[in-house]
Amino acid sequence: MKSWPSLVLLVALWAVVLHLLLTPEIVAPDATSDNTASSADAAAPRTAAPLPAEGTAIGHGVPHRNPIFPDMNQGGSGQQRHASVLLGGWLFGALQIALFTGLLAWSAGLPAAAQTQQSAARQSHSWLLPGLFVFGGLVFEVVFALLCRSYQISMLDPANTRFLGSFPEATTWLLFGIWFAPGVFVALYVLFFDRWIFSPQAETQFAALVAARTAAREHPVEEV
Amino acid sequence: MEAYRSVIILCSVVIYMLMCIGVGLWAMRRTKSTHDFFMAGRHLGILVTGVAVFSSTMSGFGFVGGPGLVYKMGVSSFWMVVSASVGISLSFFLLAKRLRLFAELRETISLPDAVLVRYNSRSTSFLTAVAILLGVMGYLAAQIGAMAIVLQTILAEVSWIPSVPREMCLVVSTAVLVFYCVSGGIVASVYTDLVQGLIMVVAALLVLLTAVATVENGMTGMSRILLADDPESIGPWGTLGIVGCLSWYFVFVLGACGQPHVITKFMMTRRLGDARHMLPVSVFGYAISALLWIGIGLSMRALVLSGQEPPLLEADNAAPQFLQHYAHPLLAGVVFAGLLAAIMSTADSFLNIGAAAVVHDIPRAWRGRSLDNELYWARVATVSIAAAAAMFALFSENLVALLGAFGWGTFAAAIVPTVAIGFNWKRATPMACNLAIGASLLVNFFLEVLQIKLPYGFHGGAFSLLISLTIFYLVSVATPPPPIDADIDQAMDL
Repeated sequence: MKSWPSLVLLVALWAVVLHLLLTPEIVAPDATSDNTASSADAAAPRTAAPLPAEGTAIGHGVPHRNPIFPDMNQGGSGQQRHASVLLGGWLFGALQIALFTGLLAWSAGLPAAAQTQQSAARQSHSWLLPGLFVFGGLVFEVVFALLCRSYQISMLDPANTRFLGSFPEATTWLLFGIWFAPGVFVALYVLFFDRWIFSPQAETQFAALVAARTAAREHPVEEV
Repeated sequence: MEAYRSVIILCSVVIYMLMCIGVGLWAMRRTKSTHDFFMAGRHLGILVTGVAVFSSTMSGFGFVGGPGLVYKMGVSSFWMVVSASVGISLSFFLLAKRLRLFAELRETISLPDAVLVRYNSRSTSFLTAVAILLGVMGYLAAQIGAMAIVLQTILAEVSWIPSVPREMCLVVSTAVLVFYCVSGGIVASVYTDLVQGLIMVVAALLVLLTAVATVENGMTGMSRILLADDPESIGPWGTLGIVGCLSWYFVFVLGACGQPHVITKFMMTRRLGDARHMLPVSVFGYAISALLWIGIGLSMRALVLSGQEPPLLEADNAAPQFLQHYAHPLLAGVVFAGLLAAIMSTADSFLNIGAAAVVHDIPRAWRGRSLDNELYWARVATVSIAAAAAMFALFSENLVALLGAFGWGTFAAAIVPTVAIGFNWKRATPMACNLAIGASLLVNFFLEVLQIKLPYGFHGGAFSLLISLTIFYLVSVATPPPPIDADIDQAMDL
C-alpha cells in the first residue's frame, strides 16, 4: 500500500486539532458580573446566566446554565463561542469524512486492485467502485458543508433561524444528512459484495487455503 | 389500567427475565465445547448476528444516559447517534471479512487469538487481552450497577412490595445474567440479544410516537420551545459546541471498529457472505432504537421548559420520568423490559469476552497454551468476573468510573490501530501495536486520574486515539515488518 495519503491525512488532522486546541478559549465571565451589552450578547438567550468559574472546566466555550433549571445547560451566544473555531471545526469534520471514506475504499481493496491482477471482475469495471466511493464521499462532504454553512447563517442571526422540516436547517442536515449519507456505503457493501468484498473467485481460493491447512494439520510432514 | 401501571411494568420485567433463563436452558444443550461457548460453533445466521451487533452496541447508556444528555446538552449527543451509521459500516468493511477468514482458517475464538495469528506475537496478544479485560471490568460494573438501579426503581413503584435494598436488586439481576451466560455461553447471549434487540426496536418506535404526541405540534413544537430558550441547544452542536461534538464523532465512528464485544461477533457467522445482509440489519436496527434517545430527550427538555413538567432532579431521570408520566402502562412495561434488555445485551457480551481473556487469551499468550478443561474454567471465569464487577459496582464507584473511562479509551485507541488497521495492512508490526496500546493506556490513565479536561470539551478518548494511530503508523513504517504466516498472508490478500 502506498503510505503517503494516510500520512498526509494524519498530518492534516494533527494540524487542525492542534490549531483548535491552541486557539484561546473564551473565558466564561465572572458569575457575579453583569452581562455587558454587545452585539454578541444580543444573540444570547434571554434567560442565560453564566456558569460559575468551575463551569469553564467542561470547556464549552462560553457555557451557561439555565437559571431556572440548573441541570440543563445552555449554549449562550453561538457567535461568541464559535467565531474563532468554526472554520477549524469545518476542516476537522471534512478531514474526518475524508479519512472515513478513504478507510472504507481502502478496505474494499481499491488500492490493491489497482496494483494487482488478482481479480478479473475487479479489473473489468475498474472505474466503477472508485467512482462510487468518490461520489459517496462527496455527498458526505457536501452535506457537512451545508450543515456548517446553515449553522453559520443562523449563528449570525439566531432570531431568524430558518427551519427545514421540524428542525432548524442545520440540525436537519445533521439528522437527515450526516446520519443517512453513509447509507451510500451500506448500499455499496450490499450491492457489490460479490464483486469487491468477497468474490466467488476469492471464496474458491479461500476454500483451497482451508483445505491445505486442514490437510497439513492432519498429515504433518515429518521433519528429516 | 392506569391503576395497575406498576404491576404491569413488574410483570413485563419478570416475563423478560424468565425468557432469558429459558434461553439459557435451551442454549445449554447446544454448548458442548469451548468453541461453542465462545464462538457459538460459528453457526449463527444473518438476523441473529445482525441484531446482536446493534443491540450490543446500544447499551443501557443509550436508553438512560442518552435522553439525559439531550435534556442536559440539547442536540450535542446526536453526534453519538449519527456516528453509528458510518461507524458500523466501517467496522463491517474493515473487519467482517478479515475476522471471519481468520476464524475459519485458524479456529480463533477471540480477538486476542486473531491478533496472535496475524502478528505471531504473544506480547501483542497479551496486551490486547489485558486491554480488553480492563475495559470489560469497568463496563460490566457500570452495566450491573445500572441493572440494579432499574430493578430497584421498578420495585419501588409497586405498593405491596416492601422497600428492597439495592444490594438485593443487584444480586437478583446479576444472577439472571450469570445464569444464562454460564449455562449457554455466547449462544444464549446472542439469542437473548435477538429478543432484546427486537424489544428495543419496538419500544423505541412506540416511544417516539408517544413523545411526539406529548408536545403541541410534535417535533416542530419541541424545536420551537428549545429555540426560544436557547438557539444553540437545538442547533447542530448543542450546548457542547462544534469542537467537542466533532471529537465525539471522531472517537465514536472509529471506536465502533474497536469494540471487542461487537466485532467478535463477525467471527461467529455461518457463512462469510452473511455479512452482506447483516450490515443493513445492524445499521437500521441501531437507527430505529436510537429514536428513543432522541424522542425522550427532546420532549422532556421541551416539557420542562414549557412548564408542563417539573424540573428533573437529575438529567438521567429523563427516561424514567417520561415513562411514568406519559407512556401507556403497557408501553412503559415494554420499554422498561427494553431498558433491562439494552443493559443485559451489552453485559452478556462483555462477560463472554472477559472470560475468554482470562481462560484462553492471557494463559495462551503467557505460557503458549490455554487452560486444560477450558469449558469448565470458562464457566468459572464468567461467574468470577460477574462477581468481581458486582463488587466494584457496589463498593467502588470511583474505580468503576476509572475503569469505564479506561475501557472506552482503550477499546478505541488500542484496538482500532492493532485490529482494524493492522488486519488489513501487512506493513503493521507487533512493536507498533504494543507501543500504540501502551500509549493509549498511559494517555487515558493520566487524563482520567489527573482529571485533565481538554479545551472546547475535546474528548480525551479522541485525543488518545489520534496519538495511538500516529504512533502505530510511524513505528510500522519505520520498523521492518516481521514475516507473516503464509496462509494468513494469503488470507489478507483476499
